[in-house]
Amino acid sequence: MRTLLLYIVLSAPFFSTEAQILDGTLDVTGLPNFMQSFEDVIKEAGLDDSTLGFESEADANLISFILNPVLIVPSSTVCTGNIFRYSLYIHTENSPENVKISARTTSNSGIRFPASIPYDLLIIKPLGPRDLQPTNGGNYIEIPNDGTQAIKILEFVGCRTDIPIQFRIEASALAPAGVSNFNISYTIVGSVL
Amino acid sequence: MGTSKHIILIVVLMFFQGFTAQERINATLSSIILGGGQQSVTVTLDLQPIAIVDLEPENTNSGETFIVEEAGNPFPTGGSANPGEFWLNYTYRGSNLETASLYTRINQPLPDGMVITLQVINSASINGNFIPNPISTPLTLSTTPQLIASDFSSGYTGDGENTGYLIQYKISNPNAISLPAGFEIVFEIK
Repeated sequence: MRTLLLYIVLSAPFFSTEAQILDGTLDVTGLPNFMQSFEDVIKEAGLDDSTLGFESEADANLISFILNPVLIVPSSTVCTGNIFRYSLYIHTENSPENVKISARTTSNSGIRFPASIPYDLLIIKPLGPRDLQPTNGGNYIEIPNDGTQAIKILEFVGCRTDIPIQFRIEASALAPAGVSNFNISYTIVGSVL
Repeated sequence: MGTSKHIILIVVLMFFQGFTAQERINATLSSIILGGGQQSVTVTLDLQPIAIVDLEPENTNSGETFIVEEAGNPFPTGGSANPGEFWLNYTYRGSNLETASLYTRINQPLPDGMVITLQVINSASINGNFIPNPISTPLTLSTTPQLIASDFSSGYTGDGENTGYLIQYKISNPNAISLPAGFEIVFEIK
């Protein structure tokens, strides 16, 4: 009984800080350049080029999300005492027609921030361990070219940095050859549950 | 069915819905970014142009040219159900929606008296996505490229027999002369 009371007292700060979600900063690094090589092009005449497809680097984008400093309290301290659950959604804007773009990451990718905190030692963690779960088991998910239909590709608990995102491009022969530009948008949503 | 059974059914359906549906949000609403954030990156996509042609049934020597070593013999169509006919498949991707045309020619002159004609006699699409635009009149082959299909946009015919353009060929060789070594009929998109 004494142990149980001790646990409740020790974990009380974490429960209390979850009552109101705090602001954080999403940082996306990397400017993906999806360049189809000659080897990536379909070799059998009559087939659509989308049957082959090609991949980006495994870390074409790196995603980080950390809570903002509060007055003189640095982000590392704020992230230590405030644990939330985050879902990352993705969509494209103005991507070419007849081009299917998919994204994925691997299980538990990225780095916990800070690397180790007292929350990790709790026997019962209110939001579970500070891990990352990719949607669809880490398999590719097609990205909608529609901001009203942004799709979830992963979720994680606690602040996290350097989450790698890899892309797969399946371009039909109907898509025009040459260079085009479009945007990939990331939206992160916090939750206390 | 009682009310309680209806409720149970709805709960069960919602349970399975949660498993099967991918979670989506309307990311254009700033109100949903509670405690989160939003950022975009600009991506560059560079796709290769494609212009590949194939003849079916497969020629064992080449995917893009026919090699006939003995005039009077049928083309080596590998057991086609209709000797004297073959299917032409292509995949084409142009730059900036540029259209293309399909040409045929022979790589060297035919012996005197020998004539080879080709004619597109049909078109079909199995798992393809193209708009047929063939020249249906018979073509007498020469070293000058001749049009088989004109001004088509990016597309693909589907792979294999019974899809693409069905081409019939005829050989007239009254003097029974052999074809020169290295003779080829060439099909190209340009």
